[in-house]
Amino acid sequence: MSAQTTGHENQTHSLEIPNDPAHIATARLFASAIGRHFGADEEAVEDLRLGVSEAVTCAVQQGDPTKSIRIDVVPGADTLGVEVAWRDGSDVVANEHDDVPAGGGQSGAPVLAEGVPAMGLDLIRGLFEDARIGPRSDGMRAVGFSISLSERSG
Amino acid sequence: MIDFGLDTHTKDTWSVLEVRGEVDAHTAPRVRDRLRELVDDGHVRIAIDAEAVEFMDSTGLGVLVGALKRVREHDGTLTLVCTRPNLLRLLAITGLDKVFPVFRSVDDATTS
Repeated sequence: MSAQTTGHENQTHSLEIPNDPAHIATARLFASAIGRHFGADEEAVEDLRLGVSEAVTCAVQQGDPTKSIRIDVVPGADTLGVEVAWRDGSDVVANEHDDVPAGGGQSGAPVLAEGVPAMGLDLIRGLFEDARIGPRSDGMRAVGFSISLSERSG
Repeated sequence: MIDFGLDTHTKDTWSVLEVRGEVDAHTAPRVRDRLRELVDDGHVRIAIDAEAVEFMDSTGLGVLVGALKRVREHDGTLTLVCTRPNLLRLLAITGLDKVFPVFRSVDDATTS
């Protein structure tokens, strides 16, 4: 696991975690700490925490278990942009306790522990107007979204 | 930060599962397993006390939905005890506030 922050405060803050559910909480802590640092109010921090948790959970379920998951938080003038990126697994990766493959839902959507189609990505789409979910040009898959600091900080 | 934990006790004809800490893809399987044990042991009136749940995401919600389905197969009931704004908001966003009876206290939940 590694964290990286560039010299200038308004540059990207990055965290790499192993593809392991035990590290999802670390990603939430990382994102919420940066959100508070940049003045996000508690509701915005809660959205950030939930969005990162859902995105990293998706990455854990769909990603290559041998490859790390990267979380980038990019401060803007009045926004915080977030991107969670991962390498797809070559095989379907099942949650170790699931009856249903984690990556084997309808249309490839991740599946929750009880076999319920994942609400996670729908939650992200609902919470963040600019949610972006899909492949990147470098072959990684990513979930991205941003929170507005100015509106929320009032 | 509250460490994750589970405790079960009975109140009248109800089983009360107290959940503490954060419920995500790492911890939700433990919640699910405990709920399965309760149902397998014949406890189908279950109140989940989520007052000490600091965070829950859709993985935790999925476990709750699965448990609700399971108790209903046995004509049972599953209720939530929750006053935390973040959890109530999550339930509202997902529409699950209309699926789970939500109470402000264990007493309220187990006398409903």
